[in-house]
Formats: sequence, C-alpha cells, structure tokens
Amino acid sequence: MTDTELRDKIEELIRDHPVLLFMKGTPEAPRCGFSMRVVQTLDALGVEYGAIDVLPALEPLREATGEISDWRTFPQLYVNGNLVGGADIVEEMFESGELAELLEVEQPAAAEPEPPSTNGAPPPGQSPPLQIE
Amino acid sequence: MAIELDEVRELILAALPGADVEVSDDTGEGDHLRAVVRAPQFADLDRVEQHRMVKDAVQERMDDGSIHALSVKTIPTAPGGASGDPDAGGGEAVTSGPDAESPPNSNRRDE
Repeated sequence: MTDTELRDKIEELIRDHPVLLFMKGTPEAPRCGFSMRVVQTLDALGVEYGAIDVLPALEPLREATGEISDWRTFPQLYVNGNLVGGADIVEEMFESGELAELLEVEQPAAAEPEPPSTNGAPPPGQSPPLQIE
Repeated sequence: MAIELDEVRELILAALPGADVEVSDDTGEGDHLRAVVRAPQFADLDRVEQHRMVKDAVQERMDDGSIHALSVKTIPTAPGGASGDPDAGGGEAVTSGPDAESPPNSNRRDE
C-alpha cells in the first residue's frame, strides 16, 4: 500500500464512521494507558464506535494522520469526520459534558471516568511497526 | 532515555512566550510527562489547536524517543483583562471549554 493509498483509506474510514477511535491495541485489550482511558470514556457514554489498532502499522499511520489532521500521537478520536483530540481532550470534554453533547448521548449520572492507572505495571512495549511495502 | 523536565518546560516556553508552564513526571521514569500550560496565545483556539501548539514544541523530543508520552492540559488566560468575543467559534464542533472564562483551575481531574 502506498502512502497515498493508506491516506485515502484512512480518510475513507474517518468519513464512514461517525465515531472512530485510532488506538494502541483493541477496546478489549488496550495496549496503552491513554488508549484505555478513551475506551473507558466511550464505554461510559455507551456509544458505538469503530476502533482501529494502530500498532501493526504505527509509523505509516502516524505519518498519514499527521498529514490528514496534523496530529501524530495515538489515541485519536474522530466524531463526524472531525478530530476531537487525544486522551486528555476526550477526558476534559467528558467531564465537562461537552463530549456527551457532541455524541448526542446522555451524560452518565456518575460522570467520573476511571482514574488513569499509572500506578500499575508499565504499558507493554510497542510491537515493531510492520513494513507496509 | 529520560529528559530533564526543565528542558521540556523551556521548549514549551520558547514556543509560547509568556506562558505559565508546569511539567511533572507521572511515573518517575522520566518519559511519561504531564504538562499544564496556561497561555494567552490559546485565547481563540479550540482544544485541538491548543494541544498542537504544545506538542509541536516538543515534537523533536517525542520523535527521538526522549519523551514516550506527554499528557497535556491547556488553559487559556486573558492577556490583561477580558478580550475577544466569547461567542466567536460557538458553532464549531470543538469549542473552548468553560475554562476560557473561568479562573484557571488545574485540579479538575482526579489526582
């Protein structure tokens, strides 16, 4: 897949999914604390979302999202084709109720996401990026 | 590979002169950092743009692996009194939060 093809594919995914999360790992098994926090936030809001594990092609995806959105770190949350941000922004917007408003869902009564788990084991190491060519 | 917190602070300050920058080390290992940045430059920007300014400032040190992760909290400050139209950009999907008009408060998140 060329860089252009990859970028087109990502733009298509962003366009086709109202709520799309680029993350390290999967929602069932996040491989990074920041990605886990966004998964927990989206789950707390009960929204359906598409999730893409960036680890198999980390660097090409970093380049591609850098070109598309000028954002090179993961996780990245897109809603209706727009970049909302990474874990920090998502959490801020969750706590303020802005995220529920943006997603058109009810803010949960106990609007407290799980605290970031920085006291446990360090996040597992990243797998080496796949060579796309 | 760790990085001095002061160096991170200086990089952010160089990009945002006059900002108030606090950098801390979340894990004690020097590569998962947290930056709280209060700056008048954030005034009319949405959160994504504010975070980009901070991340761009330290991009080189993220690329070279000195910083594995940087958690960012941005707080717009008023440059000497209220300025700007609070309604500006109100129709955007991502607008500045209540922080834009309320006093800076860095402790909104759980410790």
